[in-house]
Formats: sequence, C-alpha cells, structure tokens
Amino acid sequence: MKRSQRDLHQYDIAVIGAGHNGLVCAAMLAKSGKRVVLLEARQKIGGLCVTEEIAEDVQGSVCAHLVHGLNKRVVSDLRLSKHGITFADGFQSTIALNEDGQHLTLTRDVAETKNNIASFSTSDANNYLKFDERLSAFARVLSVLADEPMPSIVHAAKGDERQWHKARQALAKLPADQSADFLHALSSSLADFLDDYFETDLLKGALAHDAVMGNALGPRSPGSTLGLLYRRTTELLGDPHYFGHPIGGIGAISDALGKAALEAGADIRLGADVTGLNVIDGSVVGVTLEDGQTISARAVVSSLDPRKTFLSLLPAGTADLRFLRKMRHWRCEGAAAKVNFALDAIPEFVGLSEEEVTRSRLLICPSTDYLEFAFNHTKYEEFSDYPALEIVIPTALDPTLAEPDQHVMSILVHYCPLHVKEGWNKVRDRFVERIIRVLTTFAPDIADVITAGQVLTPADIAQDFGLTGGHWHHGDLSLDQSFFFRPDAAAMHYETPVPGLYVCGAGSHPGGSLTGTPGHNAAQVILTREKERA
Amino acid sequence: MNTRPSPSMSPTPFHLRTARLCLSNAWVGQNGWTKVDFYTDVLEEYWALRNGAGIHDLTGLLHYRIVGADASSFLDYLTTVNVGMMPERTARHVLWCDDQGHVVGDGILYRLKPDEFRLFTQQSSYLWFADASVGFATVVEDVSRNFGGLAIQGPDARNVLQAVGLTDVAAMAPMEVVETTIQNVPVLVGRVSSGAELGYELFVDANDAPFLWDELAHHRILLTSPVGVSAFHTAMVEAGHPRLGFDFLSSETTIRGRRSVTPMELDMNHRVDFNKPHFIGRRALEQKWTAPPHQKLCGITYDGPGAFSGCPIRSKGTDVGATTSIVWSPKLARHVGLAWILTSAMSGAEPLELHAHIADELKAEPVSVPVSVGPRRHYRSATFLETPVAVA
Ligand SMILES: Cc1cc2nc3c(=O)[nH]c(=O)nc-3n(C[C@H](O)[C@H](O)[C@H](O)COP(=O)(O)OP(=O)(O)OC[C@H]3O[C@@H](n4cnc5c(N)ncnc54)[C@H](O)[C@@H]3O)c2cc1C
Repeated sequence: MKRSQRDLHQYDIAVIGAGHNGLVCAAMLAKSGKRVVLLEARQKIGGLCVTEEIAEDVQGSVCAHLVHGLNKRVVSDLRLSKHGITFADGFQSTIALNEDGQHLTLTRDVAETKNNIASFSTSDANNYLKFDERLSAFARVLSVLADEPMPSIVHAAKGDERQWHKARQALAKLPADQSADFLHALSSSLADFLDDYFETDLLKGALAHDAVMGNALGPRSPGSTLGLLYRRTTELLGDPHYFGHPIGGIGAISDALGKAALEAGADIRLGADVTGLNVIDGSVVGVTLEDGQTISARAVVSSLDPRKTFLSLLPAGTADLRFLRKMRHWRCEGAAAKVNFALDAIPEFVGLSEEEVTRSRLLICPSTDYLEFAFNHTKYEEFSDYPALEIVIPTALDPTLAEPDQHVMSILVHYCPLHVKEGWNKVRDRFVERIIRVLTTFAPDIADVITAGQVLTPADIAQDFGLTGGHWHHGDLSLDQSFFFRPDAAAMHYETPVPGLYVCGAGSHPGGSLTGTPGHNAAQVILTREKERA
Repeated sequence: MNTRPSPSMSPTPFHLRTARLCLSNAWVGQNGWTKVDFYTDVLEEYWALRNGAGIHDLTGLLHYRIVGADASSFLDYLTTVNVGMMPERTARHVLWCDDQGHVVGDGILYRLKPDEFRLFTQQSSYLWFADASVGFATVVEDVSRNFGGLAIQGPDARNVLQAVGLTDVAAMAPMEVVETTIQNVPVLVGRVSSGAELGYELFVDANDAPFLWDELAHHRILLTSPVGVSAFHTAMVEAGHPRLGFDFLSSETTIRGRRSVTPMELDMNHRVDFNKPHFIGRRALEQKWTAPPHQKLCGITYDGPGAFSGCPIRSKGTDVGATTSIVWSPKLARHVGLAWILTSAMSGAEPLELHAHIADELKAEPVSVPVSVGPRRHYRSATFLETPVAVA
C-alpha cells in the first residue's frame, strides 16, 4: 500500500532552485537513493554562485566571487575533488588600502599578520593574537550549532539532548571570563567590539568590512558582531583547501556540485520556473511551473528566500497566520551591490606591485566610521558617495575568463540600498561614477582601462535571481533572524509548519555565503523525516 | 483593500432616542460607543425581555462585511467551523484560533449570499482578519459605523416584528437570516438571540436607526421596553454564552500562556470541524483533540449572599478554579454564572466551594458557599427554538 502510494509521485523529492544550496541538498538526497528533481528557473545552475559573461567575451563571477568557507562535509560527502575544482594560486591575503599608500596586509597566517600590524601599532599587533584566538574560540561554540540542525528550545526531540550537550561542552571549554564575553559579543556592535582590541582605523575598517557581508547593519548597529563570528564560523567549518578564487570563476563550484548531483542520479531541469506549490489535504505534494506543467513529489524542498517560499509560492490558506506574519516581517532588503568591470590592462594601484594587485583581495574601507557613513545613506534610500569596496582581479591567475589582454575587476560594494528615491534607472550611472571616483584615489588611471561594465544593485539581483530583496543571505543575518529564528522557530529544523515542505537555502539555518551548510543539514533532516513519514 | 474607521468615543445611532429614556443617566462604554447601562430599573428591563419584548441597542458589537469570490474559503481558513457547508441566509457562532489552537476571537457569522458574509464580534479582530485575508480574493471591511443594530428578545418579539410589517419573520427558524424591508427601508434580520429567548437582531443603515427604533419602540398595540446593557447581560449569562474579554481572553491579548484557551476548554468542540481544508490552528487542534483539556469553562449555580465574580473555587481547601461572570438570575432565583474549573476537580466526588469576602464595616468576612457545577446553559425559554408552521 505504502509503496504504491509512493509510486504515484513522479519523484520522491523536488528541490526548487539550483543555487549551491539546492545543488548540495539535491546531490545528498540523490546519493541516498531518493528520486530527486532539481528545478532551476534560470538557464544555468549556480544561483548567486555563477560565472557568466560580464561583458562581451569576458566571463566573471557575477555575484559571489570568493570562497572562504565551503563546508568540509560537503566537499568530502560529494567528493568534490573528483569533479575538478582547482583554486587560483593566490587570494589568500587581503590588502587594506590606505590613502597615504601605507597599506596593511592581512593573511591567513596569524603571525605574519601580527608582524604587518606592528608597523601600525605594537599594541594592536599584540592584541591581534588574542583577538584571533577569541574569535576562533567563540566561533568554535557557534560551529557546533551551525554544522547541524538546531536543537529544539522547548520540545526536546530525538538527538536534541546530544546536541545541547555538545554546545554546552563547547561553551564550557571557554575560560570562565570568556563565556560572558562570548554572549556579549553576540549582541554587541562591531565598532565597540573592535575598539576593545584595536586602535588602528585601517585594521578595524578591514575587519568590520568582512563582518558586514551584505547585511543591512552598520558597524555601529547593535548585533553587528554576529557577522564577524559567523564568518569565522564558516571558515572553521570550511575546507581550508577550498579558499579564494576557483579557476573558471565562482561558477566552477556550482558546476562541480552539479556534476555530483547528476552522478548521484538527480534530474536537473533548467528554465523550470516554479510558480506555485501544489497542496493536497494540507500537504505539499509537488509544484507547478510557469508553463503550467506540474511535477508531483512526496516532498518539496525550497532553496528560495523565505518570503518567496511562504508568501508567494505557498497558496493562501495553507500555513497558520502567526507563522505567515513572521515571514511577512522577515527582513531581506539587500544592502550590497556587485560591479564587474572588463579592463584592457591591469590597473596600477599606488603603493602596490602588480603581483599584489593580481593575487590579493583589495579592500577600500579605511575605518569603521567610513563604513558607518556609507551605511547611513541606505537608510534613506540613497547610495553613498564613499562606499566600501572589495576588489578582486582574478584574470592574471585565471586565464579561462578572458582573452590574455582582457581583465576582470570584480567589486563588491557596501552599501547599496534596494530602492533609491529617484529609481535605479535614473541614477545607475551616477552610482558607477562614484565607485570609479573612489577607485581613482587608489588607482589613478583606472578610468582609462575600463572597457565595459556590469552593475548589479540589490534590485537587479532580486530580478535576475528571483530573490526577494536581493539579499546576500536571503535575509539579514542578525540575532533575531539566526539560530532558533532562521527563518522562524517553526522552521529552524528545515521542516516547515506545512507537511511535505522543507527549506534549504541561505535563509535557513545557519545562513548564507558559499558554505553549502544549509543544503547539507537540510538533506540530513529530510532523510530522517521522510523515513518516518513512509 | 481593507478599511476600518478610526476609533473614538461616540454616541450610538440610537442615541437621541435612548438618551431621552435613560432616566438613570447610567452609561457604559463598549468599543468606543456610549451605551445605556440601564434605563430605569434593571429588573423591570429584565422581565420585559423574559415576558414581553425587550429592545436592546446592539451598537458596540463590531460589524464586519466580508465579500468576494474567495470569501467562503477565506472564512474556512480563518475559522474552525465549516463555512463552505453553511447554507445561504443562515447564521452560526464561529471561533477563530491562532497557530497553537488557542482562541483569538468568536462571533456570529451571517451568510447572506454565497460570497457575502457579515461577522459580528465583541472585540476587534480586525488586524487578524486583514492579515489572514492576504492572498484571498476577498475584502474585509469594518462597517460598524455604517449600521445601526437592535436586538429584540422576548416571547412577543415575533408579534412585534410582524406588527411593524416584517411578515417574513413569521417562518424564520433559529439562526435563519433574511434581507427584507420595513416601509421600503432595507433591514437585515437574523433570528439570533443571546438571551435564550425568542429573539432577533435587526440591522439598518445608520441613518435609518431612529426610524427602526421608532417603529419597534413606539408600536401602538404591542408593548416593548428598552433594555440596557445590565439586563441584557444577565440574560446572556443565564443563557450560558461566554463573553470574550470577560469569561475568556483572546490569545492575542493574553500575557501568560495558560490564560489562552482552546475550543475544547471552552467546551465548544462542536465548533471545530476537521472535515474541511486547512484552517489556522488545525494541526495544533488535531494534536490536542484527544487529550482531556486541563480546564473547562463550566456553568455554576449557588444559593447565597452575593454575585461573586472573579472569586476562587476550592476543593478540600485547594484552588481548583475561579468564577468569571456571576449574576443573580431573577428567573431561577439563584446566582448563576460561569467559572473556569480544573477538569480533574470536576468528577463530582469532592464538593466545590466558592470563596469570597463580604465587607462588614472595617473588616471583610470570609464566606464559603457550596456551588454546583453543570452545563453552561442555565436557562432557555420554551419559545427559543419554536417556529410556527408556515401557513400557506
Ligand atoms: C552581491 C553578492 C556578493 C556575494 N559575494 C559572496 C562571496 O564573495 N562569497 C560568499 O561566500 N558569498 C557571497 N555571497 C553570498 C552567496 O552568494 C549566497 O549566500 C549564496 O550563493 C546563496 O545560495 P543559495 O543556494 O542558498 O541561494 P541562491 O544562490 O540564491 O539560489 C537560489 C536559486 O533559486 C533559483 N530560483 C529562484 N526562484 C525560482 C523559482 N521560482 N523556480 C525555480 N528556481 C528559482 C534562482 O535562480 C537561484 O538559482 C554574495 C551575495 C551577493 C548578493
């Protein structure tokens, strides 16, 4: 009886969205013998993790451009090494640019970084070790929670006790004075947190920049330190060999995941724009595509943002109201933009060698105040004249992207509002001019080498990637939208209040960036739950 | 688009009529309107309602209009009853719950047409309705200020309505609704009575409110009496109707979780129908359905010295419940009312006592009164359900 019921469905599981999390989830499920279909609206897999033409005959990492925390379990469970990813031999260090040409290089080697800081401040250099150790210690506690589905707060389910135990142990490993610091750090502002350790603006600016990651939070916003802890957590959970720029651009990660999914037996359908979830007797039993086609499945997993999943795909009347109210209040207005330039030469940066320019991540974020001022504007639907920029020029190390005399400059811009008062069409050019002006301070001839360009504001990202608000994490990564509340207490386990519907995207626990962790965790839960349901 | 009027204290559309009659000058507020508490004497008004025909100004009830192609499926999602199966021109008492299966509100739902409803509630649930209606092709409109409503209750109620020309009411069964006219003035009539009497509710455009009052109150042959809030409330407690905000709280407003209640705790299981599509709180209610409720809202009666609302009920000296609304029932010549009581204490094996204090000069004397616990309905008149056979 059960078997014949099962066979009525075309698939065991339909996964919506072939971003990297959807890919990971689909591959893991298919690997466990499930009949899986992965439905992607675009003509290409990868979602925000994609390499595409950024200008004629020039390829680039359109959105995300660097890997810093691809989950080890994803790499090993899906045997990614077999699917051919190689990383460019560079981008292990970050150079924080200073207007006076005295730049600061931060590397993955703590001792080396300490030495570099010493030429700015000896006390900062000394504190850096402590800072780095603290950050890692705090992140170790969080990584216990991040690397698995969250344990329940109230109703203890199977496995919760073991996980709480692990988390308590991790917390207990912190020296007594640090556990209070840890809890404090979770809710404090980046500016305050960094001021506790450092005096050098350039250093603090660089550290603050890396914590923002697309969130609509400034360094003075309470709770912004969580971003710093989150980044370190993803680094701890990440495979250290999967770091920086993959050859072929960021899409190489998705391509490898796609191969793993296909090899595991998943079907991948491109151009499959899901317009609705099909519900029978209160359970999700499939999806409807834009062309009217329906696909039936015992369960559906959505990697889309929570608002899109619950407020636009789920038919009205399917979920309870308090839950829907929370989804309506989910904050997911994107705050970062991406600008990709095609260049006909490698630009010169004051005080940097060509090797440094082409092998490092460059940061323009001279202080936390600079970042905070850049943030101020987004609140009023304006963009800043002085945005913070993260710059990668990968083409010297990656010849696959463009002809030898062509280069790509991939720029992440903080902050950029979803909406601007005048409407983006009117001010898009002005926005790019401002960015070029900021670049010119450090690379005076930059304007001469730019041949073409591409701008993606959060509004463009929302449009091109079917992502409400165009947010890096599919929703602010703040304490009230994390852990137990990602995307809500009723859905923190990837299961949702609607039977047969699961979530696995960046909007689910623990959050976004190229980690694959939500997708991997979700697959674990789905496999156990579906076994129980069968 | 959902709209609602701005709240402010205002006279009811019947004010010019009721104020003249309100010799007591006793007024109470309800949802922003000032209403007559009692006109001259509560008991007189009460007996008019039980023996003749009492007219009560219903203003203060919130009145929602729900229309649109999805109105019925929206209400099926919103409420726990089966709205889809509700015939046209009928009324039902309905509940709506939150995700946990806790009651958010209750009211009387009129189905006028397949896609047009009216909902009458004691407390505003407007935001809840508006939020729940997102995604449905339906409009929820608060029309409380656009209408005037009167209740007429008592054994003569039908005769009065017929005498003013409402011949349609003759054959109306309980919970039936008609849209009709008095002298070309459109009237919405429902055979709905909160006082367990033969009774009707009538709604007219607010501008026609004085006209409706004059028709009913000044009928030359049949005697009707205006009934204030107090007497109307007494009849309601006798009838065993719990009132939101008094006898139970909306889960939207409770502070302590335990004070939120399920339909089962209200002993309203018959208002929950799982034989319909998903509704808010369904899964929680399905889970809680079979477990015996922790507490129940019961009817209690006692003979004794006072109407002790909000007093503890004890069994062998320990608290097992508390009274909510207690009134002196002129009809039953006892105190009757409602109380929350732990289900574990309801076996009847142990006697239950109500504990209260009676002020006596400088001290308050504790009193304990034996109470009997039973069904919530203490009284229902013989005419409540009776419908004359229609004459051809
Ligand atoms: C500007 C920017 C820069 C970033 N830079 C970095 C970085 O350098 N490093 C880093 O680690 N992270 C970065 N991130 C974050 C990272 O890219 C995301 O967190 C991550 O890619 C999210 O992956 P996902 O699989 O959860 O969702 P997505 O990548 O958003 O995938 C969702 C998929 O669903 C598809 N889809 C949408 N609607 C439908 C539908 N109705 N039917 C079918 N398919 C649909 C979309 O086309 C998409 O393919 C950046 C993000 C942004 C916005």
